[in-house]
Amino acid sequence: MNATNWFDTHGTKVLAVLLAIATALEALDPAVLTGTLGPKAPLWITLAATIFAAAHAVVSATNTTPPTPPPAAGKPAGGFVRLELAAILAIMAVAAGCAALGITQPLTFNEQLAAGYQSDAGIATTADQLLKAGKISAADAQNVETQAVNLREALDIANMVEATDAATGGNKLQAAITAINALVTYLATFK
Amino acid sequence: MNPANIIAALTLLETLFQQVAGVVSDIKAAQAAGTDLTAAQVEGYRDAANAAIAQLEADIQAANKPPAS
Repeated sequence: MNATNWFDTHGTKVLAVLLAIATALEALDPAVLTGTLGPKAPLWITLAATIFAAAHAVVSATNTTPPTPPPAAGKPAGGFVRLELAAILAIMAVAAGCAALGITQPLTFNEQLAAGYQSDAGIATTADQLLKAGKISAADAQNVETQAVNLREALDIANMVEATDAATGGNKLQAAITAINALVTYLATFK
Repeated sequence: MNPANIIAALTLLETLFQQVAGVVSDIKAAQAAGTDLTAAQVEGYRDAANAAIAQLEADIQAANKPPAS
């Protein structure tokens, strides 16, 4: 089994496990981590996921062997590319959480909102680049765009509500971030 | 091995990491100063999201446009 086939077979599972572990560790009390794995454990695992995603992007880019089975006529070779897209989107979603990127203090509403908008931009940018490279279909890109618009509107609503009701606005923001993570989880298991 | 594909993939990753680094840097700077991100900073990230979505929409329309015969 060559590297490309290995990524194609196991890539989504490995990435999903890494992100699940990182997310679970972030949810723990920092004191628990300090006494066991170390306070920076989520950071190291997220870095591992990032390196894994980058390695896959390079291996996928260097692959010259057509996917097996070959794509139907008129359809893009989506197997590897969807994995690549999922990996990159996962990184963007982790950024939305931010806790594993060296930011140790709790994020304020505005900080979480900015990270959410930035993740939304990253999702659209990634889909656009892959579309222009001919690696995803226009229909796939349209689906991603629809999700990106929905997420932006959810963030807008959270921001508007927070101006008059901080608690409700915060809840809506968390719901939007959860939606980002749900989208990534879906994409990470889809190829 | 296709060098053009390698460069395209690495360029995309570089772009995304720069975007992540931008917001992380802003947040760290605000936290170090004991302040919050301003509404203008947040609006800037919203504008960036809008621009990225608009560009994606334009390229989808272009991709759906039938080739000139």
